[in-house]
Amino acid sequence: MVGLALAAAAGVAAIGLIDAQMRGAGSRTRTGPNRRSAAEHEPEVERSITIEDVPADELYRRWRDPETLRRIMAPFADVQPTGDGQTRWSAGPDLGSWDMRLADDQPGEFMRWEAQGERALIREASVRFRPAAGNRGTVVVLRASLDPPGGMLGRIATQMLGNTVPAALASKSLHYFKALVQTGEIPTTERQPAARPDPR
Amino acid sequence: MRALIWNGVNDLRVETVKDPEIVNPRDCILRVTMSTTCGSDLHFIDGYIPTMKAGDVIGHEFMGVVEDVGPEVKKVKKGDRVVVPSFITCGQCWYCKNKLYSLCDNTHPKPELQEPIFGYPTAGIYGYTHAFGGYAGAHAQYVRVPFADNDCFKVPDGLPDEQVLFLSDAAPTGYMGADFCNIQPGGVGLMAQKSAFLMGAERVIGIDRLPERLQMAREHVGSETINYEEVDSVLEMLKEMTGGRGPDACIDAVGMEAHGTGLQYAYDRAKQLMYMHTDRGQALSEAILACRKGGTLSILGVYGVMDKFPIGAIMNKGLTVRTAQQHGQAYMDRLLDHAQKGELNPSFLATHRFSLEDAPHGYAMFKHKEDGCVRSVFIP
Repeated sequence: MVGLALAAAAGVAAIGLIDAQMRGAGSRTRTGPNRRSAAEHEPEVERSITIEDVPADELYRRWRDPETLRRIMAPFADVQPTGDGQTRWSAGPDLGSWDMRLADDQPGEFMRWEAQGERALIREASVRFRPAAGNRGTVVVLRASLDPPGGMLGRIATQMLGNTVPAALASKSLHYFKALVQTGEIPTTERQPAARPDPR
Repeated sequence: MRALIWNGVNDLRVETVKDPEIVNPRDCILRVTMSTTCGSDLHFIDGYIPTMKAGDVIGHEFMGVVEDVGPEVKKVKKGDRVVVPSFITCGQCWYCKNKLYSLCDNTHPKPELQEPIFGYPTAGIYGYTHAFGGYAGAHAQYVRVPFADNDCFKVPDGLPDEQVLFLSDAAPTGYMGADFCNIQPGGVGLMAQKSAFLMGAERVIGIDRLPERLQMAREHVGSETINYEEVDSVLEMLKEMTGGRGPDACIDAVGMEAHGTGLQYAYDRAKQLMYMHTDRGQALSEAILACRKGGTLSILGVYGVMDKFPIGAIMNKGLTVRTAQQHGQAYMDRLLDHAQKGELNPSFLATHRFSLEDAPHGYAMFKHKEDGCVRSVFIP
């Protein structure tokens, strides 16, 4: 799901950029995360953040809260719960909308979602919570499988995505999540003064 | 409201923009009573730091009176007269809890712009490029201050604005630089020299090329001084002044637009003009050479990307390098205490006063050091 958010956020100038930030799904255990994928593989993106002083159970609970998901994904897509563990992702007229369903749920540790239907930029996404080494808090690992760049949605994404690659956007969602759970708010430049139409 | 706007390289204008508003629950709105120029602003005004957007309100060193507070602000109240460090900090992340405030994890709205450059995002800054958050700056009638309870420091009665203003950035930056040296050179350099004495340094030597700044260092700080344009070699001069041993600690308060003399300066300047690198770092290179073996090098000047750096001298001489953007929140109580006791009065930095409407002229004088300008101060 994040990947969709990512794609919808409009970030990639060239598919090569996306490609460089992703890795082949089949080879990740051998090559580590975020390696360049072979063209025929479904690309994946993975990013992590360490959050101190908030228990893993609390992080899990906050991530399950539809309001949290809506806020940390807001720059990229509108995410609304539709019941039965499903969420509706709306990423603008070009990238479209689709549903994702919670497919695996291990309280305090792991959640995984799958896209419903064929037209979805994010095929699958997961978030895992695990203890950081040395009592440094909890590591939150966000992973998403994207529609292959050669696919129709991938081509649209290429045109839409500006300069920001999906991995950077996954990282941004994690930073927003951390800020929200640690401070109660997400840093923003919305509605600030500036001498231009969009002040952000 | 009226605000100083960056419209492009070397194009500053005062324009009318909408007032800031409370956006997040821990925000406050400050009515700015005084703000000042910083040498680091010149880097993006001159176009050496990218990610400015036309229309940005600039300015990150300021003080004011609280006009409005968000629903989750507990300590700060309307009417409080406060000074605000230039870095925005949450007070709750690991970095804030360890007093490394300018490294705060939770105040950068656009981490995707900074992670490719530095690997990890830093704290956000007011009015200082979108790579540093893109927040509206404080050369304006009003400014939004996020995390008001953490970042607004109440000013004791009796201290005039000019004495407090520089506690926003120049003073804590200099103080931190001296602190890094375990005491054992513009505005930041003078503050670093003053701070070194406050911490017990026996001798402080200020190096500059501007006679008026060297005079300030002698008269307001009590430093010895070197005008590097009047000596053949700063290194030799420092060795002579320290009995061949070298200074225990060297502080670079210059940064990426250092001036200098000789071939290295000409080479760096040419490369920077062609945007082949953003930094010319002659002051830093000289500090590395001049510092005694096993000494401490404290870097306060702001750098972007430098492609040649004398790491061999650092390594073989066993130097300790300490760096940071200012952790102002960590020093503010001590600085206000020094100010109240009359030990610290940075108001001598405020050589030129302007109305906010004349801010572009104030920046031009500051940039070209006209009429002995050390800092321009703006009063909205």
